[in-house]
Parts: sequence; C-alpha cells; structure tokens
Amino acid sequence: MKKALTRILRVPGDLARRLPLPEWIALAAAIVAVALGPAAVLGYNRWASRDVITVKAVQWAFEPDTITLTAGVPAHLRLISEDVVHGFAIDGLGVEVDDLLPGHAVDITVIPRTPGTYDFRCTRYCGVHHGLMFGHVIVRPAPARSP
Amino acid sequence: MVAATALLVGLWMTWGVASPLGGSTSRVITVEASQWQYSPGIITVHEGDRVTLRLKTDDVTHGFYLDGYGITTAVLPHETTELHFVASRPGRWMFRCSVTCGPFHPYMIGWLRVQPNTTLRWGWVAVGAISLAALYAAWEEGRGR
Amino acid sequence: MSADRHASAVATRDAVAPARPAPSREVFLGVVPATARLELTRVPLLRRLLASRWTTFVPTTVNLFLFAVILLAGVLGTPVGNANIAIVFIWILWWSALMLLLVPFGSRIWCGMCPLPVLGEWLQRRALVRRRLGPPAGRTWKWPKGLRNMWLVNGVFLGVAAFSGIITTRPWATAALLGAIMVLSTALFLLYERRTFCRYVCPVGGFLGLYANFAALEVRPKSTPVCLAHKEKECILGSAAGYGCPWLEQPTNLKRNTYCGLCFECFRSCSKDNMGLFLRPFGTDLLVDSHRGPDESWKAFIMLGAAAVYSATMMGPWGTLKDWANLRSLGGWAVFAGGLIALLLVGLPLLHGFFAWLSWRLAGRTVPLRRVFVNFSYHLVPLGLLAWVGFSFAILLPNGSYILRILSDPFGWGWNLFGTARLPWTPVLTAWLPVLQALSLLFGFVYSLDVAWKLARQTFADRRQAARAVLPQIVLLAGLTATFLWLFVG
Repeated sequence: MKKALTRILRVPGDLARRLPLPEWIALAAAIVAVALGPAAVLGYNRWASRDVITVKAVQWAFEPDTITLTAGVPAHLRLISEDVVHGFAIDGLGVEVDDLLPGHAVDITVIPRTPGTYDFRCTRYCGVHHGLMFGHVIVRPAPARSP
Repeated sequence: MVAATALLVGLWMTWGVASPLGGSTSRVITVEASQWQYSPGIITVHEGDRVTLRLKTDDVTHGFYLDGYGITTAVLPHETTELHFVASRPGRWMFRCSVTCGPFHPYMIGWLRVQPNTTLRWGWVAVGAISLAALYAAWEEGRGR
Repeated sequence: MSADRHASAVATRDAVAPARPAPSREVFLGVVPATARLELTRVPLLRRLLASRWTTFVPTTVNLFLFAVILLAGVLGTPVGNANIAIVFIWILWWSALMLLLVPFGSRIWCGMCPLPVLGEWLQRRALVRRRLGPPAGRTWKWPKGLRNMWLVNGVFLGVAAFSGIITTRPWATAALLGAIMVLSTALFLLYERRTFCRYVCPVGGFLGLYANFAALEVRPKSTPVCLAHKEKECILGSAAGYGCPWLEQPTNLKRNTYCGLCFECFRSCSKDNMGLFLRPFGTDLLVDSHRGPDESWKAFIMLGAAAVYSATMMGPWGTLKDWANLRSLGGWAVFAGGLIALLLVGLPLLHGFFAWLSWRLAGRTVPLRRVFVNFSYHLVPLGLLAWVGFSFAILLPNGSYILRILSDPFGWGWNLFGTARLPWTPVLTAWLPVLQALSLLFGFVYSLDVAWKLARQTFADRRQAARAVLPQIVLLAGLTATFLWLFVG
C-alpha cells in the first residue's frame, strides 16, 4: 500500500525520518485539532447523558416510542424536538410539557411508583398526523430485595 | 428650477399621509401562517393606523415578530391570536416567524408597508439627486468645458 | 505621524508608486488619493508576526478544529438549523464576517486561514509548519490553460447557489458541501501544483478574489528597485526559508489582490525583507488594468444577481419562491434554478451589455466594444459588495443571537456549557435595519459612480469621450441601486 502510494503520488518514503521539534508540535496540534473536537463532543455527550433517556419528537412519531422504567427509580428524560413545536404528556404519571421547542431540550425527572403501562402522546397540534404521535411507558416492578 | 424640484419632492414625500384629517383608520387584517410563508405576504397600512392582526395557523406552531416595532407573539394551531398596535413607524418592516417551525423557518417572512415609506423615498431621492449631479457633471465634461 | 516616519512613508510611496500601473493621480471620492498607502509592516511586531510560519498555522488549525466539529454536527447534530453549529457558524457568523469585515478590510485573508485546503497542502508539502526542501508530493500537474480563469469557479458557485435554500437550512447539506470541497481540494492538491484548487476551483474563491479588488488591504513589495536588482526571485521559486508563492502569483509583480491569498509565504522567503502589508483606499485594484477579462465580468454579474435573488427568496414575502428554493417540488426547483442561472448568466450581462453598447456608441466607437464591456463591469463591484453588506445586516441583526446559544449547546443535544443555551431568540436593532441597508447601498452607489468615471477615463483616451461614455453607466448604476433599494426597504 505504501509502495503504491509512493509510486502513484511520489510521496517519498522517508516518513520514518525524525522530524524537527516544531513539526512534531504542529503534527500534535493538527491531530488534536481534528480529533479532539469530535472526541470531546462524543465523550462529553456520553457522560452528560449517562443516566438520561433521550426521546426525540419529530413529525409524526416519538423515537423511541417505548420506554421501560423501574418503579421507585427516578428516571431522567430528555425531550428534544427535531422539527416543529410538539408537546409531551404521560398520562397517569403527571408529566406535562406544553412547549417542546425545536432545538431546546427539556429535561424532566419522573419517579414512577406503580408498575404498569402508561401512554404518552404529543399534546401540541403539529400537523395532519399529530394524532399518530404516541408511545408507551412500561414500568416494571421494583426488583425484590434480598433480606 | 431647483425650487420646482424641491417642491415636487416635498409634495411626493408627504403624499400618502393622506388619511382623513384628524383621524387614523382602524384596520383588521387576518394573516394565515403556514410552513413557510404568511398569507397575505404583504400588508399595507398607513402611518397612524390602528392595526389589528388576527393571526392563525393550521399546520404547526408558528410565531410573529415585527421588525422595528418589536411586537412578538406565538401563533398556535387552531387558535386565533390578536395583535393590536399603532403603525407609528413608517417604512417597510419585515415580520418574521419567531418560533422554529421547520427547516425554512428563518426565511418565513412577510412585509408590512407603513405608508409613506419615507426610507425608500429618501433613498430614491438620494439616488436621483446623485445621478442628476453625476449626469450633469459628465454632460458638461462631454461638451468640453 | 512623526516627521521622519512620514518622510519614510512618503519615500516608500514614491519608491513604490512607479510600479503601479496607471492611476497615480486619481483621488477616491475627492478625498483619498489612490496611491495613499499606510504600511502596516512598519510596526516591527507585525512584521515579525507575519514572517513567522506559526502565524498561518495557528488560525488555520483552529479553523480546522471548528471544521471537524461542524462536520460532526452536520452528520450527528440536531436537524434544527438554528440549534446546530454547522448552520449558525457558517451561514450567520462566517458569512456575515466575510462580507462585513474580512473582505472589505482584509482582502482574501480568509483564504490565509481556511481549513479546507490544509490537509492537501500539508500532504503536498510533506510538512505542516516548517519549510521542507525537496520536490512536493503529488503529481504537480499544471492546470489546463483554458481553465486558468474564473469560469470554472463561476460554474461551481452557480451550482451551489441553485441549492442554497437547502444548503443554508439543513445541517447535513452544509456538512456534505464542506466535506465534498475538502475531499476535492485534497485530491487536487495531490494532482496539481501548489494552490491550484484555491485559485481555479474553489467556489468561495471567485467572489473573494473579485471583491478583494475593493479591499483596503494589500500585500505588495515595499520597494521596486530592490526587487528589480534581486535576481533570485525567491518569492516565486521559494527559498530555504519559505515556499514559492502557493497561489502561483509573482509577488514582485503583484498588481491586483485577485489571487493573493495572504498566506505570507513571500514574507518568509524574501531574503531582502521587501514584502509589506499596506492599508489603502477602497477600490484601488478596480482601476488596475491587468488581467481583466470577461470571466471576472461574469463573476461581478453573478454576485450582484445573487444578492438580489437571495434577498428576494430569503428576505422576501413570496412563499412560492421559497417553496421552489426549498425543493418542495422538482419542477418548482427547476424554475428557481433555471431562473437564477438565466438572470445571472444571461439577463444581467445583457443589461450591462446594452449600456456598454450605448457607452461605446456615445464615445464614437473608438474603443473595441469588448473592452468597454469588460472595463465597465468592474464598477459593479462596490455596489455588489455593499449590497451583500446590506443583505448580511438582514441576516445578522435578527438572527445573531443564535450564536450565543450555540456556544453552550452546539449540537442541540441539551447541553449548557456556558449557561447561554436557554437564551431566547433576540433580534437586535431591527428598527435600524432599513436605514443601514439604505446607507450601505447609497455608499456603494456613490463609490461605483466614482469608479465608473475613473474607468471611463482609463478606457477612453479623450476626456470628452469618456464623459459621454459614462452617461449610460450612471443610468445603469442608478437603476440597479434603485432596484436594490426597493428590494431591501420597499
């Protein structure tokens, strides 16, 4: 491969030769520049949303449309609209977000007490298929504690 | 000749403020917002008019912001939102959607013309005056001073 | 200025003045002599800064960092444009900065820190920051002679403009465009010599190059006799301290800003320290009769027309036009794209051609029509740039507040790095927008008239002929300005 590159592009095969210090610094800076941003972004996001369930609202569905929680365990939901203003409500769990503005994430914490299935739906008219925007929250019983 | 021109310009500048003496008109305009335009896209009123805008939409939540007046409101689907203001600033002002409503949201713009459009008229007067001066100077040069 | 600094500034100007073609007695707007120069590199700190190779490397690498983040944001970030750094930083921040600051006051200084060619250039030079001797990597082909002009750039720009509705509102489209340009540029750096891509292919480079002729900044040799006596021509061929001009220009002979990318290589390679950075009046290069051509004329038409079409589509009240630009239907987009191309490639040129023909006739047909046409297209530059300035105000004032929000949440993922993520959209000073736009246009109009008169005297030997020839140009400029006024504030 290196031979092919050397032949086609005439890149001299002296890549192994030692570089002067400024060049090392520049190379390090360039690699940091290209890699640091994306790595930091992805890494930070993973950390910032480590306990967070992200629910995306888009015309006309929620992604994911099924969320599984455990009774008694606080759940952090992050609601993000990807296009227009939506709304969000979980019936039976007392969750109501009237304005889900595109680009503005809304963080809510839910502590479900009773196991069961709850419906969530879009509560702001968002187009012809607004009625199809719904999903379910499944709350499992708390795991049995060992004595 | 200069005086005549000045008189004509002055008349033209004030023309359009031809509202009934001592009163301003009330205007009610219904504006439909949709992805991604306002209908009507151009609204014309006169300086001093008391304007009521009845804003409605049928698709998604929009907004309304009027440049120069700073009036803002959200426009929810299947509701009519009323805005009242006095068109005290003449000119042509863009009104724009203030609630993100999809990809073309930043270009969702309409024009409110509050007559007389003094900015435009002054601008055209300036262009005309400068052009006349330039043409005159070039004409004189062309004839050989 | 102190007496001796003034004297040496005058000495510099006199030493330099003979090298400048023609307009040594011109005065812009009756106030600023065309030969007025303020040498910025008289400040030792600046001279040292420009001579350092890090001065180019650091801003470029910072921009490369931003570029990587923007590319990622386009691919993975929110599709909501005003919550995505790709859209906000490119089409609000960068575009406004270009038109309002970088081009009028910095010429092609963006090119000196642009991240798009650097990967290619680093590979080609086989070095990142140092001057590495030896043959460059890659094929180093020469660009075909027939394409050594702005025609390809014009075509690429039109292609991008046809999709501007999508590109400026969809983060993925912005990322795709930038990514494609970077891939293309890297490939061209490994196939062709030096900055062939930047000079002959980059769509941004076209208008940067033409409008740089209006800019108040220039790189020029400080003293012509020094260059004449110096046979080595290090600025062109390179030396141990610096590469030969990557832009394929001849710094000793630099007459216009069109293709100088302010990379400052010539500052490093010149062993006589004879390159200088100068402030100068706006529009200076528009009077320089060197390498003018219809390719640049058409670039002037394209930019002027694009300012009008973008204003009508993006700032106008006509929803159908927006639908067409948004590709709501293929047929509608075809009308938009076709209309755009027709107006910019054919309509405006015909309009200009008609008035050029009138000028030609009024002046007694003494000068070839083609020369009249081309020369008079350069006075469209001040009006065009100031029209873009007006357009940029209309982007920046209402939507600039997004920039603050983006700093805290660049991907629209719910971050809040600096606490500004929840700032509401806040239009700023919109009451002043019509006045700002009108004043920009009027300034551009006046400057264009001034340049038109100077171009007329340059084109026609006889002053009376020039005066007759400029009459239609005044009418043309007045008509264009009045039309833009109506579009912006009517």
